[in-house]
Amino acid sequence: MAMEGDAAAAGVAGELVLRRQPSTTTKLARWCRKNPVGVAGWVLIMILLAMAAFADIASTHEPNKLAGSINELPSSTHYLGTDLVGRDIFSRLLHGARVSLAVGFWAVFMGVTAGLLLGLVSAYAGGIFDLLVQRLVDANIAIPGIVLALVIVAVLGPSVTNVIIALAINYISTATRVTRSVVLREKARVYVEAARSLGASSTRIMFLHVLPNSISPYLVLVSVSIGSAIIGEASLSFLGAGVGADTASWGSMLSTAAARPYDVSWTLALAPGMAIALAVLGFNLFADSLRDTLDPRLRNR
Amino acid sequence: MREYIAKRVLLMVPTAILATLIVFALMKVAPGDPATAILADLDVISQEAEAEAEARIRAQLGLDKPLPIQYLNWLGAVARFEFGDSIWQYRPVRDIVLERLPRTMELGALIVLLTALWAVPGGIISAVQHNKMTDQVLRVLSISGLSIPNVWLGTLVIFALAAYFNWLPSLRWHSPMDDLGANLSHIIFPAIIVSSSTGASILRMTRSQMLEVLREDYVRTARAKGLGFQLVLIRHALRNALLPVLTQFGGLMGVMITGVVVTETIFQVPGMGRAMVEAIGSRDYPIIQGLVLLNIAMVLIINLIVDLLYSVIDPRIRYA
Repeated sequence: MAMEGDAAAAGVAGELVLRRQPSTTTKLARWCRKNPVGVAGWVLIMILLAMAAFADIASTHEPNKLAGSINELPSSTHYLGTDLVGRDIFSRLLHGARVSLAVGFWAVFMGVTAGLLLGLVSAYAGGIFDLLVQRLVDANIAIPGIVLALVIVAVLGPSVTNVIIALAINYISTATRVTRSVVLREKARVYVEAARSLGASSTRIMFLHVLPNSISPYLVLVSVSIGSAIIGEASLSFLGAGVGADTASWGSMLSTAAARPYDVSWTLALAPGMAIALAVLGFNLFADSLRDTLDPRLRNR
Repeated sequence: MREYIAKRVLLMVPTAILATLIVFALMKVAPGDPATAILADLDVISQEAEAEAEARIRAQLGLDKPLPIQYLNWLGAVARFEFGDSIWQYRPVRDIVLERLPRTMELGALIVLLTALWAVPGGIISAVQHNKMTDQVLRVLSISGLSIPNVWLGTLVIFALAAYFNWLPSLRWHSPMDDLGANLSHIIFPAIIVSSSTGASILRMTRSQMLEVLREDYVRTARAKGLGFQLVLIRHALRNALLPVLTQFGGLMGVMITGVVVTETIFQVPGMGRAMVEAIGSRDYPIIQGLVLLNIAMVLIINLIVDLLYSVIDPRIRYA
């Protein structure tokens, strides 16, 4: 970019005058102006990340210790009241942000990355391997995600790591399919042929040339999926296969309220669910704008 | 055409085998099996008696055989349309499915109906009113529908009905044959809740497809030769916009079979989703395997039907 700027200044032999490329900041500012909805999503995400980051400082009580009597209504000591066993809901909500956002992010990151690599290799290798991978993907997609996740948590036992793994599996197949189709298209491009004629190995072409060009759908898939993973954590918790009832997560808090809606204070029925909805909304809004920018072809997925 | 269908049906077999194999392998890795669970229920006097009882239970359930043989035995039985007996409920898996499947199908049909009723027209209106107020409102509605977890919405509905209307929805299952009113007033809540999220994605899909199609030359041509807007919309645009929407509906119906686990649990609908969760909890292998197989079969068959419907909606598509 700097070189182009110099070239523009020098005018390159007086013939070719290049316009200075807008700086990254300018581009970002332009994007923000064009996508106010995406910015709103980003702000929501940032607020929730701040909740997670400052959970220790901002909480008024220990999240997992008894802090008062049960089902207290909101007061100056307990901003959001207390839950069924007398723990402070506000403090648990802040700490829950850590678990829920981490589960959402890591599950999607691991699943989509695995899918990216699998799709890349599958499309590149072709033949029997490709066929086998495609059948596996078909089989995986035919099993409802929540059922597979339930089985996996049953196998591994309830914990944060295991919930992440259980949810991650469900993102592999979609990512594999999308990446495979993108790579198949890219493989037929002239630049791949050029690289090959220069003697580049398949591995080199695959990782250095094709992979960078398949990165847009990857980013889009990641941002689109995080919201659903956060909801997935809540659903698993509710079905008794979550991060464990003692770990404060939005899902585990919400599932207590969902399991016994008549026995909890209204704050427990409202707060964690609202936090989840806002987080998912934030990611959905941001993902929508990102998708329109990066990959208009994916708009319909 | 017939050849195409035969080929597709044949391709389903390896997919279904793979999927059941995945679930079988996972369940076998899981700690604890039905034999140890049954044993825990019995009062056994001595260590020897316990060992003997365990061996007998395993032999009876076929759990003493090597894993590949266990799987092949199950597969062989399935080929004869025998799905085994539930370990805990002492009755054939087939009976359990026959009892529960219609309930989930009824719920599923209601969900698909509600979704189609609000989301498809919503998507069309949103596209026609592109960037106007109605469009914005519908977009906000649909993105909220995607963002609000069903667990929460279900809790809120029960909470609100109880707290503000002093009325608890009856959470007892009534067969639609006996009492259709009671049946509907029960399952209408889970149906509305699920259709809020399924409808959101259908609305977005319909909208973006319609927007794309409305920009096509043939739509402009049709308008230019004097055809009314509504006629062009329904006869020309909708038909072409509907294909991807239909695919999404297909995916929806497939996932529906056991995918409504959460709402079935909240509203205590004793359907397939519930059966699945209970079976996973109690390690009831035959039920899990049977339900997974059924689910996969449904997904694959619905996909095939959707693909075939394509050629009905769009006669240009032909399968050879």
